[in-house]
Amino acid sequence: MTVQQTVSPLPGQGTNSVTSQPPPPEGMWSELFRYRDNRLGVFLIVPSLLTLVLIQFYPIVYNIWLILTSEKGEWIGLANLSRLTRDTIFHGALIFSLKMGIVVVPMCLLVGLGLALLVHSDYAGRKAIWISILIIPLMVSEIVAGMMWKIMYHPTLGLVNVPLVALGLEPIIWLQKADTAFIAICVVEVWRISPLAFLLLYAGLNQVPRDIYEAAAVDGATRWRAFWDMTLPYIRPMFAIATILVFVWSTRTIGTIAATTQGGPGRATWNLSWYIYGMSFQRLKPHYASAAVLVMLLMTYIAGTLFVRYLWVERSSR
Amino acid sequence: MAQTEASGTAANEPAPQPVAMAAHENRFNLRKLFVVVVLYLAAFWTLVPMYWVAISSIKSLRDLAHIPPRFFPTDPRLDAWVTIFERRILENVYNSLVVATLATIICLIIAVPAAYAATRMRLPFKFVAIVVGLMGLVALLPPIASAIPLFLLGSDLGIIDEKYTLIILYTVLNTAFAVWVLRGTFMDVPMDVEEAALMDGDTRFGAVRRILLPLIFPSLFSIAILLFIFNWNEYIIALYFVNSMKTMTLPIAIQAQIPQHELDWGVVSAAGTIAVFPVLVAAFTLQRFLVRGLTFGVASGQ
Repeated sequence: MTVQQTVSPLPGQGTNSVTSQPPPPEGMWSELFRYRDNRLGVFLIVPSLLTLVLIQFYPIVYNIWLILTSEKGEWIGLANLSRLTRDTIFHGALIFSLKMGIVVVPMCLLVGLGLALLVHSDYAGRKAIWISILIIPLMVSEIVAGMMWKIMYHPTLGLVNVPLVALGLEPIIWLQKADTAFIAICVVEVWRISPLAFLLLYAGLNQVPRDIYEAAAVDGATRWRAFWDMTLPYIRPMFAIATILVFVWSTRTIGTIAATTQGGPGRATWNLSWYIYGMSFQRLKPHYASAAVLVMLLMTYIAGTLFVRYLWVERSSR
Repeated sequence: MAQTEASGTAANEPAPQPVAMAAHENRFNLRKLFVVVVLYLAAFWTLVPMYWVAISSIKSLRDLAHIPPRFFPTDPRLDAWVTIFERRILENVYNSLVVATLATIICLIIAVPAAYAATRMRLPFKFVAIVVGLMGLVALLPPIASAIPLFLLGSDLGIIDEKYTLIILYTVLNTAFAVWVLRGTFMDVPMDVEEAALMDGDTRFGAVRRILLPLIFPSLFSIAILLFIFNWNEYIIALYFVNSMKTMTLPIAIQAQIPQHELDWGVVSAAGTIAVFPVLVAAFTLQRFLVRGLTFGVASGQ
């Protein structure tokens, strides 16, 4: 590594520190401890690596042990997993989570993209205030968001039925029937998560250089074509990141369900998180619930690997 | 950030559509009307549940039972607020405050050096890439996936239902995210000044203390606020680790207050209003920094 031998005590790492680095050296580990400076650096990073061990690596290893043993601690091999494949409650929860993802992710992206374009447009007055208002749901606790919407859906107290009644329709008891409860929960999730998509896409729009639009206008391009051929390609990486994050957020939902339906009616609104919580904490079958955790982790890992690839690998190779 | 700022100020003067504007003065106004109307609708959609909860907490029983529901309370009462304080909500607020504050501080103490090392030191690229990549991955993980093993570990050690357990867990839960975001912040600060100080014979620590920290302090403060809000809102870990009033944080207290069927919504509305209040303050005072933090540091480091 040639950089190691420069005289400057700090390398010239500006905003593009990563791109200016030479290609990865062969012997990473020997390299790592050769210099005093590096030893200090490793020492500074180690505490946060330890938190990773506690919050992730230990739980994963322990999870695998849990899966392979029965509730009494006896070795049962893959029995927990095979039981899971036959568990209709689990199937329902998995399908509910995926169904919710399929509905919530596109809705959030649409709402987020629309709002991002509006706030980013030149007509939107004081952007700072709009952003402050629009991102509030991101910072509201899941359980509080669920509680707020439970009041909104309440047959007599709530606001949601008011326009229906005003139109002369029957008021809907949203949370008592399986299909309306699904819609109701999706609405809460869109309320809660679409600001994330908005924020990411807005940040993406801000990275589009403005002068290309002027050039396009001079060339006689319509606004639609400018959007389709210039804006969208520019924000595509951010779009991918937003998709992954929104998916991850929507599948991990538990507070919304705890506050609104508690999984009911029947087991119609059990999602993966609620299943894991119910199995481990209420039914006291942590070993069996760990098998469901594995499924959830796999889902998140696939999404997460894509996330890191987009965000980190693409960014650093740019 | 600078870019956002620039576009923000430019927006006040309707400049950059020379072609469209000159041709159709009317269309310009219609567009503006459309944008503003939709934004007002979006703001309404965002704020209405919060407004509804806030007024539900001061509605009298007669107003609560009124059909159709009233948008403005006719006879505001503080009964629900009295009840929620009688149910010792202040203890929950205190628990949340203690846990969230301490976890935030410890998390920053761990994360700032790591982010510094990842951006400012000459570590092998591959090592930094792996560490930062892992951090990003972990920041995505659902907390519930770690909850069962940690809960069993906690039971073995006999530290369930203790405030310090919550503090430790919230700290480790957010460290990866904090490193990830701080890394972006550090990368935005040019190295020149620091380098100059080092050339003048300052120690590394001196350069950090006198030059880097003052420069990043605003961002650091806002990341702290963001972490505080995450901790203030945390629900899943608390679900497993809170057993009694001694440790009960606000989200769990709110869950406990949710009535399943009756009309008694005033009390939980009051609790919800208490929980949301700091969030609203943060949203309006720290907007610019929160945007950076909540975009996952994605928008920075360009």
